Amino acid sequence: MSNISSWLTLLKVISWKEFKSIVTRPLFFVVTSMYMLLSGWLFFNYLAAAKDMTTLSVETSVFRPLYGNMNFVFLFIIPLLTMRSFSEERKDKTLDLLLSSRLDKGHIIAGKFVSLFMVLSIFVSVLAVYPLILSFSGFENWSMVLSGLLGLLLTASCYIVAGLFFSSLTDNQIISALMSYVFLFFCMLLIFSAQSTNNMIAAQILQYLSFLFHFEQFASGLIPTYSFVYYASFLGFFSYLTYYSLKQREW
Amino acid sequence: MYVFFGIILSVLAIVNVGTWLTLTEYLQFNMIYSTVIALGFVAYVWFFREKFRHFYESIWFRKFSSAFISCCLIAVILGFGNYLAFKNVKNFDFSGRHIHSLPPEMKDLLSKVPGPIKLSIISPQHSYNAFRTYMNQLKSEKNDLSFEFFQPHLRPDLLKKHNIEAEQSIVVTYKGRHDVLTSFSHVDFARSFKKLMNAKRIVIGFSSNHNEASLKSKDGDGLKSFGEFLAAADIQLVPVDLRSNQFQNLKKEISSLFVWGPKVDFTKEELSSLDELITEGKNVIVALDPSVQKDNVPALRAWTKNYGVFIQNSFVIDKYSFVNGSNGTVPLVQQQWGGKEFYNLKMPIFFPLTSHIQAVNMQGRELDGKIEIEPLLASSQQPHSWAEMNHNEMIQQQYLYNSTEDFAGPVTLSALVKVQNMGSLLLLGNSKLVENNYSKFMNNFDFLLKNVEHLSYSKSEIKLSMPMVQAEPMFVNGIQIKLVFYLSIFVFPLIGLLTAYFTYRIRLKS
Repeated sequence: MSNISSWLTLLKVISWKEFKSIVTRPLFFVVTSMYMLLSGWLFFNYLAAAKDMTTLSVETSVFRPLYGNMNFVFLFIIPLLTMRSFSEERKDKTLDLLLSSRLDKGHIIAGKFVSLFMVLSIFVSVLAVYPLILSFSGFENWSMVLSGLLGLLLTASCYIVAGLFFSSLTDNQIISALMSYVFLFFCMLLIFSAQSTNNMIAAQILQYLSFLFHFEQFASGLIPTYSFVYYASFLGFFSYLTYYSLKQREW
Repeated sequence: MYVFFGIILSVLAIVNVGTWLTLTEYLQFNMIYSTVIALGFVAYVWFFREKFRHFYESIWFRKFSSAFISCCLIAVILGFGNYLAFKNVKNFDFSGRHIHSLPPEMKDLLSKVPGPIKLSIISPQHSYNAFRTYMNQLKSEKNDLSFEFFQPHLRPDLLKKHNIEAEQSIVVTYKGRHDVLTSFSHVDFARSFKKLMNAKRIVIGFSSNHNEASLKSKDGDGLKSFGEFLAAADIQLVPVDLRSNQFQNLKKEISSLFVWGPKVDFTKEELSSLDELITEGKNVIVALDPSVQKDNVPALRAWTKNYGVFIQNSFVIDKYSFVNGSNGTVPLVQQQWGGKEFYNLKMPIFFPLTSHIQAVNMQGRELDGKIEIEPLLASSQQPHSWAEMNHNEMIQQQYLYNSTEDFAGPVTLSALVKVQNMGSLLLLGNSKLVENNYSKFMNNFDFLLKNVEHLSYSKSEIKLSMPMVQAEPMFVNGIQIKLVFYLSIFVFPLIGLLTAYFTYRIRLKS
């Protein structure tokens, strides 16, 4: 029990240090402002367009496309955040110091993941403000909003964990970000391959492997239990790969 | 040489992936092809083993193979976990209109179908996924429901057998009987299941020869929206001419008859036909609008007196609860009569220019003691509402309560008369409340559709729900849009930029 407690204490220390190092930079607030501007502009446009389409509900005409677009925005933002996680440490030769400290690799990976997840939560919580504004006009379908936000949070967590893995492979931040982009786009586009194949089983597998398929379901208000298993598997698998990648530096 | 063969084998392997994805029907070919490729790789490695020695004896290769094998093992375990989760899925539907779930009536219907149902889906392969989602929903409610997919070009025999011409169709088979579906809504499936079970379809008549509003008209004053709601609930609508000979045949089929805002009066024979319907246990739904000029339907109004009620040619004024801008002529009913909860109605309901319904003394009448009157909706309490009998006040738009001629509120706007061992009579003081103009105001439709549902279906009958919009469109006014604009696009990003500036200043100082 005390092991778990000390493990969690260390995790808290590392993640908080990482989190502070991100959010105390002016650049973070500039990026957040740009993000708010973009999401606010999209929200306003969807709302202005939906105002006249009285046969559609706000969920389908405003929030669903908004979350879809924000998911795409995260796909661009997150590799930029994750690229420096290990690559910078490798480049500055601090990674070996970190690995030779009393921290285990699990701490380092989980700490970096949790700190980025907290940053991501700030971005996602911005999106929760918009339905709050609409609630003054009678909007009350919070379950679908929360389902969409949860989908966004889980999908973006996958981006983080994949980004961390690619960051652990190279000391070049640009290459790390590029590899993340290529991989994430590939995963996203799997759903289109699924639509083009005639093989039913292959189509189902490809569709299942694409996080866009799972995200779309969350955004439409459907939460299937297998999506949680998928996200957990994705996070677990890439955390393992990152762990393995760091382990290779031990020798 | 070994590079050349390596490239050849790799290209063949990539082509094999393509054949698995595209030539799905040639299973045997794909399997043989894959086996040949696999054997080719084994032979390749065997023949060039000396060339590969330095490679597979290196530390790099050992590390790589170790990492590769452990990753594969983990991927297999995770894949198996995902497969189990996919096969034993539980869905939680948080969408506003429950678009991902079967309607409760469909679930009820499926539970009432004894024995297995087989669905043969004949469709091009690219549409399989869309069908599969719905089929799995059906199957989750009925375990012995099975489905199979067929491509039209591979099964011409099926097309011929069921005389299918559509690109996509589903053959529903139940106890050796078949039904072909070419459209695939909940109602289509339910209708098919009911048809194969020999379940009776509800038929509602619509009196059509007294200048009533048209069920087919898309105009603002038409009733097309209302007709579509009834059709979507698998209710068949038939126009009825009470004077025609066909009426005697139709009479047996219909469960209710709508007399909806007639502008021409009914003859004695037609009124007798209405009596016949009620005597035979059918229902008559009468909606009469008030008229400032001469009353067009005095005989029909008088006929209702036989059932203990009378639709006055009055105008209900409600100064307490009314639609904004109507000056009280469009009462907005906030709650049901006496605070009762009939059929879980959604309130408020509005009645544009409505007359009121009053009870009459039944003494000496045929049905004395055999009727039960149930007021459904009424206007506000006295002194806020009354039924205006002076039509001049309506013309001059100056409404004043006059205790000598007007009826004091609350006045009844809708009432149900149940006749002992016979049918029912539903009365409304207005027929406009469900015209196309008001199709966005679902509460009015909800009120009438639930009444129709209540009257038309017996408890044992399999019914379909009235398709109501659960999440109505939201109206955002200009001020709110401006608020959204300034908050989302100016205020929030500005706060972020100011914080960035102050953070920069603090860091600069420190």
